[in-house]
This record gives sequence, C-alpha cells and structure tokens, in this order.
Amino acid sequence: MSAAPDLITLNHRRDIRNRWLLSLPALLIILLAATGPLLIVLIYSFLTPGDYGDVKWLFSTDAWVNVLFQRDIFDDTLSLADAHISIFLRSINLSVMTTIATVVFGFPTAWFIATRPARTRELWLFLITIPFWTNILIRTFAMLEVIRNEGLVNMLLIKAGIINAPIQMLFTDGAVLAGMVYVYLPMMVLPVYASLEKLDFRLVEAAYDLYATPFRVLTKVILPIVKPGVVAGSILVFIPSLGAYVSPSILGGGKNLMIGNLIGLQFGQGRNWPLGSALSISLMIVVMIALLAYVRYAGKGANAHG
Amino acid sequence: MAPNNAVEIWRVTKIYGSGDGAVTAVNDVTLNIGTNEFFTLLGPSGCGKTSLLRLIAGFEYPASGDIILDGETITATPPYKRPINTVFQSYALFPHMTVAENIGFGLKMLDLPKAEIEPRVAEMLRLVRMEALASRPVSKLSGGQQQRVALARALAPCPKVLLLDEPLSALDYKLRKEMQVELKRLQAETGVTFIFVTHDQEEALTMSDRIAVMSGGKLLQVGGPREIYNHPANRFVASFIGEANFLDVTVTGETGEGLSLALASGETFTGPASDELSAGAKVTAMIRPEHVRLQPASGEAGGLTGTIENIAYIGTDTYYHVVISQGQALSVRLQNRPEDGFTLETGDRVSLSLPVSALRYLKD
Ligand SMILES: Nc1ncnc2c1ncn2[C@@H]1O[C@H](COP(=O)(O)OP(=O)(O)O)[C@@H](O)[C@H]1O
Ligand SMILES: [Mg+2]
Repeated sequence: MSAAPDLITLNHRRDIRNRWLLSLPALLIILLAATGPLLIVLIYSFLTPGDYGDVKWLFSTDAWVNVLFQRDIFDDTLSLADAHISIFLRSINLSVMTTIATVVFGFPTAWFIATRPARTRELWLFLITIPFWTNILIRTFAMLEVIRNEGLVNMLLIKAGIINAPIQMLFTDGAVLAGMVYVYLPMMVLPVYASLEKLDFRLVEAAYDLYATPFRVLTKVILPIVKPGVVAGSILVFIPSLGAYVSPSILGGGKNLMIGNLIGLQFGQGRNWPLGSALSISLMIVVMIALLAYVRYAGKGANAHG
Repeated sequence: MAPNNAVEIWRVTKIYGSGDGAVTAVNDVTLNIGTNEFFTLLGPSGCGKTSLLRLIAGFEYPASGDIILDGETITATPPYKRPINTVFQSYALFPHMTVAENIGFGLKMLDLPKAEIEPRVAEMLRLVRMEALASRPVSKLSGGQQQRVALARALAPCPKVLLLDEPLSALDYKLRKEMQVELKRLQAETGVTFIFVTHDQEEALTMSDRIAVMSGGKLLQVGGPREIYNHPANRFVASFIGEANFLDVTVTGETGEGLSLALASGETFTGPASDELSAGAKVTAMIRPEHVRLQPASGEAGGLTGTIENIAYIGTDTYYHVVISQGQALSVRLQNRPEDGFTLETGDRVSLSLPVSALRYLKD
C-alpha cells in the first residue's frame, strides 16, 4: 500500500523533469529570438539618432522624453506631445473595438462549429483557418478591392439600384476596423471554440430546465464557463491589433496614424531609430498594463462566481 | 380531465432522424401519472425511457400526441416555462457555482426576491443534509453529495413534477440503497410527483407506487409493483421483472380445480380456470421459481417429476435447475431453512408441484 504512492510521486517528479528538458529548445528560442532583439531595442532607445537613420553611440534620454513631450523650437520648453498621445489613444480604441467586434462575430461562429456533428466540425475548423494561408498584405488588398469606390460592394449596390453614387468606404475608420476584424477573427474563433467544445451541453439543458430563458442560459451558464476561451481570444486579438500596421495604412490610407505606423515612420522617413525604439517599448508597456488590468478584471469575475 | 392526474401523456410518439435512419424511440404511449405519485418508468436500456422523460421535460417535442400537465396542454411549451424539474443522470451541476448557488439557481431565474431565495435554499440544504457544505464549489463534492445537490436544486423551485433519469445508477451498491430510502423520504416530505426512470427492476419494485414497463418504445403494462409482479401482462414483463419459468402447454380439459394442462412430453398438471381457454388451446404458463414446491421424489405416482441438473447456492436461498423432460426445465428457488430435513444433490430425482394459484397464462 505504501509503496504505490511513493512510486507515483517518483514517477511524477521524473515526469516534471523530463518536461523541463523537453521545453529547453523552446526556452532557447525565446531567449535568442525574443529577449535578444528586445534588448537591442532597449539599448537603441537610449542612443542618439544618426544622420541617415541608424544610431550614434552617444547616450541620450531624448527619445524617451520625445515619446510623451515635445520641445518648443524657440524657447526649449517641454509640453505634452498631443500627437503621440492621441495616436496611442486611437490605437487602443481601435484594438478595443476590434476585440469587441471579434467576440461579437466570433462567438456565434464558434458556437455554430461546436454544435455541428463531430464529423463536420473539422471541416468547419479547416475553413476558418483558410485565410491564414494567405499573406496578410494580400488579404488586406483583397479587402480594399471589395470596398473601394469602384469595388465589388459599390458596384453591386449601384447595379441593384440601391444607390446612385458609390459610398466612400475605403480610407475610413470603419474600413480599418473591418479589415482588422477580418484578419483577427480566427484568433478569436479558435480559442472560443476550444472551450465551447469542452462545454457540457447538459448544463445548458439543466439551466433551461431551471427556468433560465435562452438569453440567461447564455449569460449565466455558457459565458461564465467558456470565459477562459474568450479571455484567451481577446488577448490574442488585442495585442497584435495594438501594433497593427497593414490595415491602418492600406485601408485607412494612412490618414489616421496608429502606433504601428508611427513606429514604422521613425525607422523609415523619420530616421529616428531611438524614438522608434522608445515608442516600441512604450507600446509593450501599454500592452502589459492593459493585459494585467484585463486579467485581473476577468479573474475577479470568476472569483465572484466560484 | 381528471384533476388528480399530474401528467397525462396522450398517444405520444417520438421519432429521431428521418428516412431510413429513423428511430421510433417512443411509440404511441398513453399514460396517466397521478398527483403525489412515485411513478417509475422501467425497461431495458434503449427502450425509450429517457426519451419519454425528455418529452415531459420539454427537451424534445413529440412527432404526434399531447402532454398535459395539471389539465393544461404543454406539448409545445419550452422547458423554462414548464413547472417541471429534472435530476440528470450526470447531475449536470453548474461547475462555476457553489452548492448554495446551484440550489438557488432556479429560484433566481424565477426572479424571486433574495429574501425568499435564501430561506428556501437553507431549507433545501437542510432537507438533503448538506448545510455544512453550502459554500463549497460543487467540483469538490463526492458522487453522493453531488446527487443530493442535484436533488435539492431540482426541488427548490417547488416543481409540480420531478423527473429523475436513473439518478442512482452511478452510485455504488450501499450508497444506492441509502439514496433509495432518501428519495422515498424526500417524496413523502415534499409531496411532489416523482417520475423516476430505472432499468433496475428491484429498485422499481421497492420504490414505486406504480410502474410502467416499457420495451422498444412501447408501453407494455402499467400497475402497482404487486400487480406487475403477480400478474405480468406478457412474457416480456414476466421475464424482465423477477424471474420466471415458462412452460408451453396444451389445454386438455377442465377439472374441478381449473384447467388440465399437458406438456409436450405428455406430463400433466392443473392450472387455474380461464374463460378464454378451451380444450386444445396452446398457451404459455408462467410460474416464479420461488413458487414452485420441490421435494425428494417419493414413490407416489402423479405430478411432475424431474432431475436436478444444477444447484446454485446464494446464501438465503438455493436455486435448483430441474429438467422435467427433454427441452423442458424449471428453475426452482427454495429458501434455506435449517429445519428442512433434506439435502438435495445434482442428479437427484425430485417431485415438483406447481400451486394453481401461482400459475399464470401469458400472451407472448
Ligand atoms: N438524440 C437521439 N438521436 C437519435 N436516436 C436517439 C437519440 N436519443 C435516443 N435515441 C434512440 O432512441 C432509442 C431510445 O433511447 P432512450 O430514450 O435513450 O432509451 P433509454 O433511456 O430507455 O435507454 C434508442 O434506440 C436510442 O438509440
Ligand atoms: Mg436512458
């Protein structure tokens, strides 16, 4: 009797050690591919911009000051950099909207797939991943083709006699949002599907049996249980949308800069690599704060239930 | 409509799928279940018990027929509008809620004020003896405890009818016996009509006021436990509930006591009188193993005799498998009483007597 548990813990320990060894390659890659470049970016953010891009190896905190403040060219006084702040806010706004929209469209999609017979589910999942096969640029240009003034939607609407002149859809905030939602929707559908698939549908019946209307079954039983999937999906959508570059510049026409575009600009025409680096790290900090706040909020909801 | 019926099921048919793959799970079932009754649906796995229960709960809708609750037709009413609650076989407790939250869920969904919910939940916790675990998450409960929470949750909103789908099948023997008593107590204390599903005939006999025996989607017989056991309507009911010996006999004539019956091998015995049978009729006679009398064969002629082929000792009783003639054997169950002065061995000749009052004629 007493030997068995010992054996189990022993095996368990060996298991854990083996798992650590197995994850070593992944850890190495993370160290080299993620931490390394990050370190370089961090160092660059404290250097002086070179004349034709690149950096001069002179320590300077100018880049960091310039993230939030601008220096008056005449009297050298500092004032808040409204442009940068409004770009940050616009990006956060776009990301939040994108996340909400992907939940709104992604949840029913995931529900639809999860409630199909087991055999056909794989086919639906496969269809969901098809957009991943195409480069994001091409997908975004395809979107442009659909919504531009001479594009598919406008042409059809005009042919159908619903409108006389094309509706301006391209180069609007709506176009950017639509492009983002299109690109990131699978990132929401997949984790939500994963948790819906594990949902015991008898719980839905139990709630239905206990006088919960269909809407309340959704809000009181299904959503609380699949919340981890929604949280994971939201993180997967929110983070990359904060740094979105392609959709805003192609579908938004670069009219309204997002952080991603601003950073891109510093490394390109702006020739201010330290500022680009400092902005990048600021973006990371924003992401981290947002994540912490979100996880804490989501966790609190779970505690209130459990 | 009789007001003392809690549920009336009228010619209900349920078909899953369509075309070649269609399965008729419930086939033209008509059934009345009385108020405050402990009613059991009994039948082998796949006979349509769960389907019938789901039709009453509202999870499925019948292809034809009507379901009436307290005189009101609810055939097309969704489950959340039916004052009927279910105890699921898997319990289906909400994993993100505590014991008390689970029990209070139905009351909350009925939009009752908190001041009413709390005392009711406390009352339910007391009823199922779970007061100490009120704030425990349900994932940290044993099977028996989860069962109690499921019961309390379903009873909390004071349903008119409680549906229980094989609620005890996941429990081990001892716990199951305890819960059987517990369920009877709960039913008596709450006065709610219970519709209980089981495939265990013993469970059905000990717990029910009335039993409906189902097979292949059809209702075979409805009656009290004694009626079902003593007067099974057909061969299936007789063999599904309890054990039964079937004897293919031909009526040879009438005697003062009843009918004279002959086995294929020519041996005769007397069965009860019947208006439906006359000389020459072929019929199946049924007798329970414990009703057959058995003695070491004596020299006297007459009656049935046979040879013991097999003996199975089960503690309280002993089973004797007695071969009467080729292809015709009887199972006999005798209580083991120390005062019985004989012991029987395999191969012994025995004489059998079949009391007339214990014999039944059956349709197939
Ligand atoms: N959802 C369903 N789809 C198709 N066939 C079903 C479904 N549910 C039950 N059945 C079939 O209906 C019959 C009765 O099933 P069920 O009511 O579960 O019986 P029981 O509860 O007595 O075991 C079975 O043949 C079963 O295979
Ligand atoms: Mg069943």
